[in-house]
Amino acid sequence: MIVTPKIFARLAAIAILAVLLQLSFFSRVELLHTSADILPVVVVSLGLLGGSMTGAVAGFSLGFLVDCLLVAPLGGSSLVLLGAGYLAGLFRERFDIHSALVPPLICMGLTLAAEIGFAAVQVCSASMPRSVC
Amino acid sequence: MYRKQVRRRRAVLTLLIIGSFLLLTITYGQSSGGLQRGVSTVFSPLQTVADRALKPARDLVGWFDKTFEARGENSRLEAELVTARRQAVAGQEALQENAQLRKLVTLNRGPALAESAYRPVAGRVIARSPTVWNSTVTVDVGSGDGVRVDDPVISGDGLVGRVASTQGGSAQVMLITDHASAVSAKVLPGGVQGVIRPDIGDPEDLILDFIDSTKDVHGRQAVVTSGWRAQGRASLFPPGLPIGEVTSASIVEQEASQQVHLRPYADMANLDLVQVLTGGSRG
Repeated sequence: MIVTPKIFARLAAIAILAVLLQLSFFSRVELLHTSADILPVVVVSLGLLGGSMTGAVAGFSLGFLVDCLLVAPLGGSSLVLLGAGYLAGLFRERFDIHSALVPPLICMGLTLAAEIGFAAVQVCSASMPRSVC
Repeated sequence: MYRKQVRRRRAVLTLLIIGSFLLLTITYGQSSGGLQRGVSTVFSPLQTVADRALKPARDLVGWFDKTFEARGENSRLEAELVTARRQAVAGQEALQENAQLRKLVTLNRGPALAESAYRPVAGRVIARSPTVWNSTVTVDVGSGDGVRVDDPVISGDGLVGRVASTQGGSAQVMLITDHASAVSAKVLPGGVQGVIRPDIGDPEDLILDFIDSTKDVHGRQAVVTSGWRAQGRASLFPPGLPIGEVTSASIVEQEASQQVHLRPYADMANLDLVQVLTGGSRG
């Protein structure tokens, strides 16, 4: 994907909108005792549409923005989401998508992988030494 | 051209991964607070607007969620209620049974039975006659348990009747309110003796007959079995078993006796646990 300023602006708008929706809506509503996480879906979708570079950069940016707004440890979400976006984009670049079922299945698989990645980051964060105030 | 693209792609990926680890390092070096505060400050107004705009949607989803939850909870609570009702009924039954058994134990330890040769066999009423004329009940102990015809039957409140017939695992008990029943009894205190027979048609009332009209009998006096023994014959009932309480006494016209009405202590209409006094002496 050739990223023109217009496309870049659109991607940035999508990223900001996704983060705001996630933080203000999806994270705050519970349906069947769980909250939806749309960020991996958005990143994988951008990766499938724009390729590995777009997916990786979008993932990193979304992760960074979320961590900043949640005042969470920086870098964790970025690392996980950039991986998901990159892999989605790589799939798009390496394989032809013939069936309409493939994108949802990839989305599902990579979202699952991203959630496992988030859990791993959480575990690593918890085991890291912190200063006691 | 393609190789250049691949190299560029890999370089960007490496850069982003390094950037991520760098951010993690900065975070755990406790020096990212300013950056996060800055981004938060920039996005704060947008978050506020988004928060307010999306509140109705959040409430709507929350309403659906709570409705589903409430329906599930309602079913669970209904099931719990059914269980609790069953337990409450079982508890009430157990309490009632316990009270009856306590009364029976008290009666067994009382003066009438403690020193006697009777061996009480506990039984439960499993059937009763549907008419007021034939007052009989069936208990779930029979000849197999040592129950014999004419054995006295008591409840926790007092005398109930006597065994009329037995089978292996059950026995028919003729209640003292049956028209064929007659029990020798005495009024306490004083020891005025007479024979108790039922007031036909009224199972709540017994009549103590053959009492000298000169004897003073008044309300609320207790009536117990007299348990006589004479010339090698003896009453079917041991002496001192409570039967009932005097409700009224009246002189029978042109007769030298008075008729005493009494109310049986035992609730004949709601008998449940009883004891058959087996092994006693008979006349």
